[in-house]
Amino acid sequence: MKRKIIIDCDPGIDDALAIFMALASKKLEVLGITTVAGNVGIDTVTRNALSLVSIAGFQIPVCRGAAGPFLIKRETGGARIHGENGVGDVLLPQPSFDEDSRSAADFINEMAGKYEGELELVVIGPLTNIAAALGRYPDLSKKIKGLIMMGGAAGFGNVTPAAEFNIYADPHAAAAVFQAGIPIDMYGLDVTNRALITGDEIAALRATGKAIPVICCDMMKTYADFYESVGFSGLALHDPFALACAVDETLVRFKSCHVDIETQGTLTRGKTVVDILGVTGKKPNVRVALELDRERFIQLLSNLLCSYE
Amino acid sequence: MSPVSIPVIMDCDPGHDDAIALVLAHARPEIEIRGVCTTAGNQTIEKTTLNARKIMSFLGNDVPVARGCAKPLFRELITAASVHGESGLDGPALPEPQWPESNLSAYELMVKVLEKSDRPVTMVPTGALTNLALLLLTRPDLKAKIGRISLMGGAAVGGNWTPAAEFNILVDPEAAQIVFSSGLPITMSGLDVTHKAIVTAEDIESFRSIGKRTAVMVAELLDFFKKFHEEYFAGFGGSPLHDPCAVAWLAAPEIFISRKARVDVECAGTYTTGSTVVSFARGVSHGGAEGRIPPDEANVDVLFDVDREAFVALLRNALEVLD
Repeated sequence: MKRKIIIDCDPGIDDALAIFMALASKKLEVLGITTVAGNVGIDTVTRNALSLVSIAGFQIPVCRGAAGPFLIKRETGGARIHGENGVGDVLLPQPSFDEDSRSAADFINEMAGKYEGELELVVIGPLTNIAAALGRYPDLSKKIKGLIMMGGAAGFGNVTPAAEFNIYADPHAAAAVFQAGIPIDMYGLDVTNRALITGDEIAALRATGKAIPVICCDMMKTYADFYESVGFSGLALHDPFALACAVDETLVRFKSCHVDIETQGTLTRGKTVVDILGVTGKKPNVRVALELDRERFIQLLSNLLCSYE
Repeated sequence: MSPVSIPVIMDCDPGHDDAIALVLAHARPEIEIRGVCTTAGNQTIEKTTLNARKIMSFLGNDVPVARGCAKPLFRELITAASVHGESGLDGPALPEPQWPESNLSAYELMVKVLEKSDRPVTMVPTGALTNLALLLLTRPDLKAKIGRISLMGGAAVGGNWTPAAEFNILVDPEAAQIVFSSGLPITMSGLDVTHKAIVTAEDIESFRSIGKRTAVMVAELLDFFKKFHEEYFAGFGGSPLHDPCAVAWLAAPEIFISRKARVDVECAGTYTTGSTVVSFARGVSHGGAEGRIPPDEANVDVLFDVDREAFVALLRNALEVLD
């Protein structure tokens, strides 16, 4: 049986790749996409999601979500990494369909009711929509099977030394989600900073000449400039890696840990405080991905992207 | 005493690993202990002061041992009886000290040693940073007399008392921030390196088999220290010798790997208070983090790795030369 998922995202170059991969996978049934302000603003990410699904030749609900975090100002630094339009300044065609009239939170709740105990949320942006849905629908947490989340880090952050972008962008939402009792698989920087695609691997994708892989390579150009500037030997494919693990969990090794979200710290706001050594005595609430098989990930990514005609 | 020896002030809360740090500092010819200050942390100030006196007496070193602050600057004291026992130094039966406690406070002893020294003194704090923070705040003129601070505390990643904080920094985070932002050169032996400075059960036996009284005493300290780590941190395969790293780096910096970073201390987190937040200097890369700050903003050499065998050999040599 296919895993029933909703992708909650902020496309975003790496989000775009993740959407293409998800729609191509025979292991996943994408019930819809919910959008959230993150890498760029809500209008842009929603339009991007519609265009990306259209390019892939699908028509599924795309529901607009939160325009910003609960309590703090929206981070607006994403254009530096993702381009002004969020997808590496590649011009995407007009969407072939309109956005859904339901809000992200309503759609998530509706699907959770319809597929109770089956629905999984692939969350690859800030956690605002999920926290909003959980707040609005008190029974929702019991109906959701689990969260597959790109965000956080047991080790170093990226937007600050202590915090990863998706959590930092809305730490209060993250805190609410981590306290909700929903099983969470956390794909943080500990693995995604090592889920690198090399220049040669990008060249091989482009050489296929196929439309979807070539668009992905065009988008990744902007992304490559950023990662080169910070000294990486490739591009970190954060969101595609989390998505790939929804397809094939054997790509990673987990450790079950208790994770708290810091919302108050002066220097550490948005840190996922991961109790790796078990010093708190608190019960684990998250499976934290710590090791990965990079080569098999790139193989899966390439297979999925190249499966489009 | 070797002519190039480094004058140091030890500032500690013995504590098993503090005690071994004192033994190592006493044994090494490159290091000249000018004073031992005590701080509350692993146990109360009464206990850590008595323990420091017992160790220095055991070593036959009559350097002044001066009592420091009984509590952190702004917080209530937390102690680590689960690690170090009720006495703070459970294990070997140590004789009572042969010399009285100094009639100076730790603060006064620091001032006196620094004022008198004709060479820069290295401060070696292996406990909470309360005494040193007070000194730096109230006698900034004496910074000129301090060559470097080689401290045990903090972690670039993780913690040992909370998931985000190492014990020494957690005990007095405000004091730690005062020290880290002092502008003095700092070498930080945090958990990143000390969790690699492991002594195994085999190493303990090799120390005991040296047969001399100090070696046997250290083996007995490690027997007790091992119990806690076997129970709570079995994955380490031994006990991390935190505090001796800060001394070993002075004696043999070549066995360590360090990276330049800016370090600040979180004092206001719900879950992260006491966390040392480490930002690498540009051109430095470590553990998936890339350097983002200008190199001249780096204030700390953060130790990340140690040649474990060489570290254990350094300890063994120390125990071979002492009675």
